[in-house]
Amino acid sequence: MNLEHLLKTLCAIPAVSGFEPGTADAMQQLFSNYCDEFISTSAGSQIGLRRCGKPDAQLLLIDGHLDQIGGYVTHIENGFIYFTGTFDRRVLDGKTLVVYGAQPIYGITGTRESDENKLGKFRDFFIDTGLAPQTVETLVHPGDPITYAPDFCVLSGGYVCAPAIDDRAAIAAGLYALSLLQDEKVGIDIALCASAGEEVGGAGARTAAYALRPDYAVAIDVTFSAQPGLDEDDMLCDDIGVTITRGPHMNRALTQQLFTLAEREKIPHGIEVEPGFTGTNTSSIRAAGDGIACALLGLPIRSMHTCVESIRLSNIEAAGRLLAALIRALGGTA
Amino acid sequence: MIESIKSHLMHLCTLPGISGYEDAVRNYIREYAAPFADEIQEDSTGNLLLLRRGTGNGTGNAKRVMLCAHMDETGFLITHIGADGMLKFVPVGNFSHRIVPGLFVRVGDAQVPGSIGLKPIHLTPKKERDLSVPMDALRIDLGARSRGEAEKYTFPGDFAAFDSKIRDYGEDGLTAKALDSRIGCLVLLDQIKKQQYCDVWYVFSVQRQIGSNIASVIHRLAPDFALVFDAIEDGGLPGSTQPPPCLAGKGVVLPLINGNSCAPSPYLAAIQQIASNCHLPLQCIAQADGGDTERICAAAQGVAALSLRTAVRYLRCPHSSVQLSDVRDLLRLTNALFAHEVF
Repeated sequence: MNLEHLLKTLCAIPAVSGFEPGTADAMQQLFSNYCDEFISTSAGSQIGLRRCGKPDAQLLLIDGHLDQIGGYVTHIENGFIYFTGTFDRRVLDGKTLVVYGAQPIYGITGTRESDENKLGKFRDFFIDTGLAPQTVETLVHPGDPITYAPDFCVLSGGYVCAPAIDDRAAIAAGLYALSLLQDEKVGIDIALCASAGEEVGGAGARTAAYALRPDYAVAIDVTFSAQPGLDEDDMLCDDIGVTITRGPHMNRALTQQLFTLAEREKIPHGIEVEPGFTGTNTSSIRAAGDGIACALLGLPIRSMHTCVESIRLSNIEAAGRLLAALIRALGGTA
Repeated sequence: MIESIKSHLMHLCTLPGISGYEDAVRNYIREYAAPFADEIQEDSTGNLLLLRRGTGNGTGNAKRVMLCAHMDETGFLITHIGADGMLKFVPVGNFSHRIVPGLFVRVGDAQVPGSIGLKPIHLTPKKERDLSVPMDALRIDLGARSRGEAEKYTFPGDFAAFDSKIRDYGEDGLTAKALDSRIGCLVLLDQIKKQQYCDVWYVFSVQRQIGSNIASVIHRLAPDFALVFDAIEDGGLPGSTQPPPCLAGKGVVLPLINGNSCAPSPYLAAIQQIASNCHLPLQCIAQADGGDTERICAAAQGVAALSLRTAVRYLRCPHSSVQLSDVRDLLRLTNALFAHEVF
């Protein structure tokens, strides 16, 4: 599997929170090489199922969220598109965005705020498409979603850089794990869930977990690495590998098993600690149905929620290898 | 024809040419234009001067007209490599620091890819979230995680160019870096293919963004007249503080004054007449920035000069935009001026 190519493909699929159902075809195609069944839920979560064929097999849910930060058109004035959303306004000025109206339309952002030291509110930012006002009015409507242009850049040292690394890197890790197991029989069913709505509350993961009732779950989400401007001693470097999170929301036995496997398989990893709500789907999944044993893996990235989120591909490999080890350990041989 | 103008402009914009580091642009232009030139000079700062002799209309006493476009673009210079492998940088030329976080760049002659990240908003104090980020708080990331690793790719004093994907814009336009200078280069490269009635010096100048030394070119060539091709900021964006002086898509812009230099009125009248005869839209505006035009007027013994401008949005930014109809109008007008022997 070419991880770089997979991640680039994943990052180019537009899925602002609420618009995940539109990704069903693209996601089904990506999952089809590694899964037997595909489910698209009403919440917009896209699930690939790999069955082991054993009756009453246990089920492991691997979750990575599908939605990305983005925007929504609020109104159009003189052909300029105004919007709101989850973008970081410090990054927005002078960037290329894509508005998904009747067709994808590229435009440049500007702000009406004239004080260079300030950014302006969301209502001050506009998108300039260069199209005639009446054309914009025809093609674009309030509520249409907006993303950063999906430009993908390969840096040295195995790092790549793009918008929506958060959290497509997790989906890539899940697919990488399944690719490692492609020619193996393991006695456990696996559900890989690209879940909807994480950036707006986690309903996609909660409802998918409720519907699937897995025996175990592992949520994967990006996490903060050290980077310029953040020099706290407790931050992990972004070449650490995969992180395993300890804390009250994570199942202790499953978490310990991940540490044991990481040590045994010599998978590069770090430890994170979350004393309560994790800000990830773990907190949604653990409380679904009767309650589900859920662990949390982290992928350290830089510049989260910008258009240049960056990750080292080896972190994704480490997460994939750890997931594959867990699947073998839980499933045994079929 | 239309398609080839577009693709040629796109190619010119991909070339890196930060002020003082215009080599890639100059090399391309030199190679492209050399077959049409009777004489080529390059001065000590890198200005490229090409002469195409005119027919002289049989007088044997041809006028010397100079067409001028600058090659350089805005960008960054690397000033320091940190122990963590991250690169400190300073801007070259004038652009808003607000556009810098989240950029892709290419560092040095080897064009090593880099990005300019930003600490996540989640870990940023509330009071900072509404403020733009000063450039000295930002770093270029090449993927190196130690000074030694970064030094394999770059060294202080190297340039970093914007790495902007060129895209279609609107019905008939494009967004790119360096439109500011390359539209002018395109016009000159189009003109040099034709022999004119007069001798024409095609001057591709350097360091416009930081104060050029075009005066030494004037000293060297002593032209009778200079026509400068440059861009000007479109005034039609929301938040523009003054009434729009000129607009993209509305034709060539002709400033009556460049900085402090009034354009010579006989030429102004002739240009307006010819544009009108050819049904080419012309936006006459009272005043534009001085740029090379002002410097030429005041250089040596003084040279009559004026500028023809293209209205560009987000001038000097990584994603500037232009309407191609304006570029085609500029090419047509320039042709018409020579056809009518205006100079």
